[in-house]
Amino acid sequence: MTRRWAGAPQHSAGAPHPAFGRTPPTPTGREARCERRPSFLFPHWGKYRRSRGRGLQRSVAFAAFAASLLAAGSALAQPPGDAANGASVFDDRCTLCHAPDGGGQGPSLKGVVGRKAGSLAGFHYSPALAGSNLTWTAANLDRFLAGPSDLVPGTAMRVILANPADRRDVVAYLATLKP
Amino acid sequence: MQLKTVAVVALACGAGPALAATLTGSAAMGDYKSDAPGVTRKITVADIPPPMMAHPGVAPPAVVGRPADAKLSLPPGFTVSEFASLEGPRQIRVAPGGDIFVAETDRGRIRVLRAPDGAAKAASTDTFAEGLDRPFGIAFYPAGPNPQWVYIANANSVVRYPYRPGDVKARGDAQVIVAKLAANTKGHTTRDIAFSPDGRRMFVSVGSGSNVAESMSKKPLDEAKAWDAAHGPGATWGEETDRADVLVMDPEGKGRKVWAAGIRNCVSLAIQPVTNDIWCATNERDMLGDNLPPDYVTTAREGAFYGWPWYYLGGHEDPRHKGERPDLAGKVTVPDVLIQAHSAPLGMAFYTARGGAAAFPAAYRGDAFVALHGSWNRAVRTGYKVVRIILENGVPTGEYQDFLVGFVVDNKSVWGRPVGVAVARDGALLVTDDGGDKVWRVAAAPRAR
Repeated sequence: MTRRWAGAPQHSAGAPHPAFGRTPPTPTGREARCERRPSFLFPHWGKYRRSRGRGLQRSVAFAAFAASLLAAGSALAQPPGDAANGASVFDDRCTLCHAPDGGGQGPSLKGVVGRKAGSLAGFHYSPALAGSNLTWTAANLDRFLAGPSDLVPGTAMRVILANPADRRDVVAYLATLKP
Repeated sequence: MQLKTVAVVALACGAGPALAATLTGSAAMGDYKSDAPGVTRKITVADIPPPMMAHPGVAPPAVVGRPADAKLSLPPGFTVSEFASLEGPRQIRVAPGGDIFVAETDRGRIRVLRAPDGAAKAASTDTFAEGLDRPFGIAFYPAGPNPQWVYIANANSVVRYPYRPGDVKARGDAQVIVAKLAANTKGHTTRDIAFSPDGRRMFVSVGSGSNVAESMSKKPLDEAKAWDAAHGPGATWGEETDRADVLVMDPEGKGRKVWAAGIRNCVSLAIQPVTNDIWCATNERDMLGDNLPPDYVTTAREGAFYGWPWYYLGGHEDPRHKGERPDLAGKVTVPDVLIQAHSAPLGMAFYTARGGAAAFPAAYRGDAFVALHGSWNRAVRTGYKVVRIILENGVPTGEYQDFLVGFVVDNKSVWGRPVGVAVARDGALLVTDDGGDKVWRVAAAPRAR
């Protein structure tokens, strides 16, 4: 709570709480724009699409785009965000199911960034996630954490991280977990 | 283990099927394959197996869409209807006026459903409050027909909204009653609230931060005893301070102390209508085997210690805390009703309706209904049903009986997961289901009453 509403003034019993009774802030600026384009499919496409229709430049752009896809695993290895804070949020919100040593209600998240969704051997995924054809890019993880059943209707994952900064930091932390 | 099935009692229950026997011993420790309305089980401490440290290597079920041939089963004379569709509905409570409050925990919302008496479907759905942090517990205060407040338990706080019967939207800002329940919200995050009928006490259940306090520091015995002396028998410390317990305070949040300790995760609280005792539906620990330790439903007695994390079911020591607390071995209260291990009892409500368009037969009055969310830490699935807890004159017999079953597809998949139960104004039993995102309504047909 304190983390999610960081900056909220201290309050005492009986006083109205600034965080209750209203909707959490909707993402604005960069995050809001990110939500509107299909970045979860092609995270780097926006950088290249402006050159569409210009012959050689277009080919170069496409090659660069393709290369970026090939490099996605390493390029996404350290997404922006505060991994230390992400570890703290993860500890608070995620570890009951995603135990650090595996063996919990959720799958191990070691090496999750860059992994195909629903692909860890031995874990019984929901048909929804197993058939999602998603790859856990930073952008996909962000969308998933913002509303798991919005992105993958039928997933067993329930936890929602409503705060965009928390999501960014958790994804940065997940990227530090090596298989 | 010796297999035994003993005929213990033939229950006189108006609408139920003729009951041949109560399953006991290892026969009582069934899975979804033996579920059927009317099947009655009684598990006792003498039946439990020794701990087994191996993980069965299973996971939570895949929640799938409702198969075409899926059918919910009830005892004869009852019908079930799809009452409402919500997003991840969890705790459910009925306001004195009949409006139905449901926590959409993951969405941070409290919804209000309304239906005419006898209606199979809700007529309206409103949003009472939103922007909350994983709200679960809901309680109206004070008791009686005109509550002034709706209390909501968030993952780490208690707030209340001003309320008048009929409100479908909060008429004012929330007031913070308890700003912080524990150091953090690691682990179990449901918090429930109940008031004593005299209005003097507010109970708040707080689940543990872990499976079995793996990272709680070890205290030398003299320090542990000193901690107990200050905080109550079996109280936990560090990040587990004020967790795995039921707290008590006044309705303003003052005078807070531990009411009962060692209750790993008391998900729902309920006041027993005959004795006015506070009850808990509790999830016990994992990784000790398919049938150990049983979950339970119990009176939460003042000052009692129920074992977590050092013991379970009396003086059975948890092998992960071997030798740590010999002083507590003889101080562990055995819970009233043991439920098949890993069933995950979440919601609980006593059946109090005395009439109404959907009221159950008189034999159900005073019994309790408990929603079993279903197992993950078990080779063969169990739970995923609503059971009836049998009481006689307010005293639990230790038996529980399958009431609403049919959510399991196979050992890998389920299409519904019961969470909360509440008795509607017309006597129907409402059941939330956060697997299928539904609220179900169970009504007794007139001929059954």
